Amino acid sequence: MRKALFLILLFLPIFSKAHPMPNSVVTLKFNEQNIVATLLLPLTELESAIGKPLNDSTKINDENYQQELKEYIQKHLKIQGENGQFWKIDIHEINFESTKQPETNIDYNELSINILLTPPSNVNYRKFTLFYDIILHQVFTHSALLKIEQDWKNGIITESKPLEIGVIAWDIQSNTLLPMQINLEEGSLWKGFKSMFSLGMKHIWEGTDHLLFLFVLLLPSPLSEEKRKWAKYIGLKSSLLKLFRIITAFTIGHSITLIFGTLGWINFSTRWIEILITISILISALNALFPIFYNREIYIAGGFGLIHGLAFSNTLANLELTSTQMGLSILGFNLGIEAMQLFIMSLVLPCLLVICRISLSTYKKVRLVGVAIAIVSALAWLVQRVTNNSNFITNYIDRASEYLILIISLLIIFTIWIWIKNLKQIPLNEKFQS
Amino acid sequence: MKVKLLLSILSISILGLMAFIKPEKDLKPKPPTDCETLTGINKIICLADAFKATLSASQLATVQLSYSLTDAAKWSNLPQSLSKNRVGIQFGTLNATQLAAAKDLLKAITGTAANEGFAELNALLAADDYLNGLGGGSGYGAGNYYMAFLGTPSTTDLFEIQFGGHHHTVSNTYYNGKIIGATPAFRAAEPSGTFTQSGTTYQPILQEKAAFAAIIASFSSADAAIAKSSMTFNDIVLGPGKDNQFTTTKLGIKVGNLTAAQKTLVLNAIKTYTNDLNADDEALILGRYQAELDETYVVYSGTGTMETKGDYFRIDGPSVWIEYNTQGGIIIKSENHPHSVWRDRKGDYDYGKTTSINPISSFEGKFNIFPNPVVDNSTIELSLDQPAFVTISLTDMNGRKLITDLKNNFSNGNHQVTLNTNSLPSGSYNCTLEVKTNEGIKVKTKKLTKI
Repeated sequence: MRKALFLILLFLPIFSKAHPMPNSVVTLKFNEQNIVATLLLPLTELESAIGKPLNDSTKINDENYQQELKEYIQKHLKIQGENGQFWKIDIHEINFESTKQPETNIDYNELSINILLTPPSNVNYRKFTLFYDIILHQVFTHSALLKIEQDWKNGIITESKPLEIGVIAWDIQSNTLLPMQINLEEGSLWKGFKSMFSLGMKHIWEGTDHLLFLFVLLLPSPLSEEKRKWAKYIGLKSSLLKLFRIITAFTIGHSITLIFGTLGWINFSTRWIEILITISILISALNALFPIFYNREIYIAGGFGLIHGLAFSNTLANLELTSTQMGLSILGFNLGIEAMQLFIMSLVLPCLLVICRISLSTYKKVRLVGVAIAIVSALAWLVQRVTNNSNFITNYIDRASEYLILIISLLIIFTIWIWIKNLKQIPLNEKFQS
Repeated sequence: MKVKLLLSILSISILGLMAFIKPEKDLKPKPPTDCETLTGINKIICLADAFKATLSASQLATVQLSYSLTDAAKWSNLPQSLSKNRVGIQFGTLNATQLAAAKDLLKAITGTAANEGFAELNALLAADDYLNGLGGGSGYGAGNYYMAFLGTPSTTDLFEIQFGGHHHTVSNTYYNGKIIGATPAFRAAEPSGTFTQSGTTYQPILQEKAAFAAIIASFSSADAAIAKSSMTFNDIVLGPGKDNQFTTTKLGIKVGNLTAAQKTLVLNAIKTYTNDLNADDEALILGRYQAELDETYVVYSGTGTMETKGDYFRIDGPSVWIEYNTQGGIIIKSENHPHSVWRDRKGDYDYGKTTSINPISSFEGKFNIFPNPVVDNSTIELSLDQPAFVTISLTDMNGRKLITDLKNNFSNGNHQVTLNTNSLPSGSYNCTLEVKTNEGIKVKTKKLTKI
């Protein structure tokens, strides 16, 4: 009983609190010519360092106070480049924030400070010495974690976890606080492009809604329409042609809005786009049940492609890149999306075609199961996106990408099984006739 | 008559059934006759075996591990919900008999002074239950303490009785039938004031605080000028994971320069930690600390009352290292609470016995010296896959240090350090690279020839 209780407790989300003293965090964002640094300074620690109370949001917004803090930071933050020259340090914003320690849930207040770091022109700004002793000049037990949030040329973008590159702390043994020497890799356009390509692939792999849409859209394409019902297999050549046209239309659609959206020419709220996407799944699923837009699939695919592209563009618009970087990002990201779509379709479509060709009745079952899954998922997403609350169904589907390989493997095994069963039933000479 | 017969048949069949169900019972150590009649190490081993005898085969496998410094270093001052690293068996999974046997063993290895040793241990377990009751969460509570035997308890072998959880850590290590180390020993208390749990009122870590405050109170202003650090300490410095990081230079005032009365106060403060051991074990360790008392230093920071946030005290001797710090409340926000650690410079854990298991591992990254042989300046090139504090030192073949250590705080990536050998005579030298990261210390030594 005790063991059981323990196990239950183990799986409950634990509201935990603990002791690690809050660290400062310095995140760096590498732009083309400069670095934007964000400092997060826990106020209890800053108070210990400055020796007077700061834990007051109204005071922080006071102009004199801000000036005092700016001077303090200027005094304790210096950057020296490779050539010995010091960088320009501009403190832009000092904000008071209430937050929780992520691992421990302890509430604490901190200052969030935005700083523009400008190196002297034409120096390698990835190699420098950081003289940083904010708080540390006084508090021996403090430490500041140095992280890179974005460095496009090194393939680090906001979507990924920040890369931790250094810890500024007193060395206990030698009782010294040394400046931090930073030497990061040069980076390149190619590296940035590659990371955008993988980001595109990742987006499709994890974007269950995009995949499900494409799947139900393509489900009825090997079939002909008769009396407002899906009827016969239209043959390999026609099927492939139709599939190709649908996929191309979808690609053109999402490419257009991806470019426009990323460049900021069009702007929709993320929530509405996501809601429209679930509706696109619902409509395509209904179409897979009864032909709704037979022979007009390419317009539908293209039209819904426009919506899906808007969702993709949100990812890139957040990166705030230069035009060259943005151009390469759009290209890399789009190619990544394409590559992953083609890869998954090249596994799924042959299965559908084989099943359809062997047995129309089995294909109907597959189609109905596919439609059922799509409708249930789409409705669950719709509820989630309208109410802004996840439900138990979306909790499961949103994790489907973890099992995508398994799901596709099952489909392939099922197809092989149908095929083998069929081998036994139909004499050899009849097999190639249909 | 019939009833008796029936009863005996029943009991025999039950016994038979028990033997059938639990045949592994025979493999386990024999239950002891009476450990209380024994003394010293024999009593400890007897009680350890008695505890083991109460366990199932799988429980036993969790408790009885082989000795390794890696497992020995897995203590923490975090509640279990955050530190999932502890080894051994969780007290919350023990039944009443097993728990009693475990407590009997802990009682035998800990001291009997009031509010110290076993009493302190029980008070800190009660404090954790108290925090749990205040809504601290399931990570708190006496059931979240763990016990492990690293190495089999015996009169010859190396073994550690490891017990620990959120605010209490025991690392008693024995070799050849004697205690060789009782550190790292972590002690902390939240609440720091009195509290009542299950009808008993406690206030652990009270003497410790008073002993440090008494030393500070005894300081003349001239003493204080030397003994007080201008830095602020919001935590202890050598907490969990900070093994092998004792300071090179001792800070504060030398106890040898204090009055006899003040020396007694320092010794009393040390005793508030060594008192946590049983009398025999304490005598062995305290004797060493007492002999080294004049060479010991104390340093403090903060108000001196040891009650205000940021108050800090350190005793740093040739062997002994004790830190005490007052920090803000975590669960009981209105009340500050202390953290403290007792370590031993000459050998936390096993007093350096396991030379075969070196906690300092080899640095495997790029480490090049060129040109080598060197005429005047050499460049040392290294590549780090994580940020590190890097020390480069040069020694001759007799191990004598030749240059001031070159120290650098490096980001991950490639770095270069220039080594000036102008002042050195021709010959062979050892160039040692020490890379200190969050995960520990790694070293590598390369030969350097000066022409």
